[in-house]
Amino acid sequence: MLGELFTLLITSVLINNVVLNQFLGICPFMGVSKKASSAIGMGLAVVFVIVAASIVTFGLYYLVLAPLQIQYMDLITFILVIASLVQLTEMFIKKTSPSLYQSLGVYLPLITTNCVVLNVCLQNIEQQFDFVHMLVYSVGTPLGFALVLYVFSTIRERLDACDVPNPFKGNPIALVVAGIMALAFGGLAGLV
Amino acid sequence: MMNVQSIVTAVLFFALLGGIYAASYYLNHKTPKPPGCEDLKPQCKGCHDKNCINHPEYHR
Repeated sequence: MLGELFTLLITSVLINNVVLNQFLGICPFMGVSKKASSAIGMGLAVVFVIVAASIVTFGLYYLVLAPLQIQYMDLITFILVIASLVQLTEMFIKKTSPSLYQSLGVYLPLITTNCVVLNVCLQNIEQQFDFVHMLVYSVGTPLGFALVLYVFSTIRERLDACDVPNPFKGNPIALVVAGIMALAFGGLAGLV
Repeated sequence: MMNVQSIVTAVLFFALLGGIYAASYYLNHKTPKPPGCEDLKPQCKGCHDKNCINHPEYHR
């Protein structure tokens, strides 16, 4: 059981990385990766929202949607739950920690439109995970997102100091780097 | 074929979730921002969609 959970964790963080393997969350990956400090803030916010959204949507699906036989409502339910959760999280941070709000506040609304959050909630149901597996998958996937976002931001910071040819400056060279990173992460496929 | 009860349940459930979202949105916007954070705006330049609320050009 523990070995299986460890495999699931490693797989969700490194091998089936949500950005570099599944190509989800590209918008915040490109938009919030220019500075390492922003990347860390966004990564932490995504970890928190995904774990909270997964627990709530998992409970709603098996305790409300399935007994009422309205499972076809899963998509709209999950979207509304994620949007509400982001609003409540933002409100909570505003009231309790101004310094955290200063560093995370602008990224919280971006998470509503981050397709990684919805993907994790849907995959938890699709893969028929039990609660423990759901929790491990819901922690591993955003950790993989945060890891890749941070590594990518440090590379982009160094790229700013490099002499990049004009046609490649900005997003083009960033996409080339992302492609090379995807190839590198592809090499981890035989890890487990 | 779906029966009427299922459809009514789904509509009521959707209305409940919509109400929860509306309430959380209202409460969040009613909560004042901490001092020094009034003018925080996302600086996302990941794409050139200037109609996106997260793009700096949107606020000009």
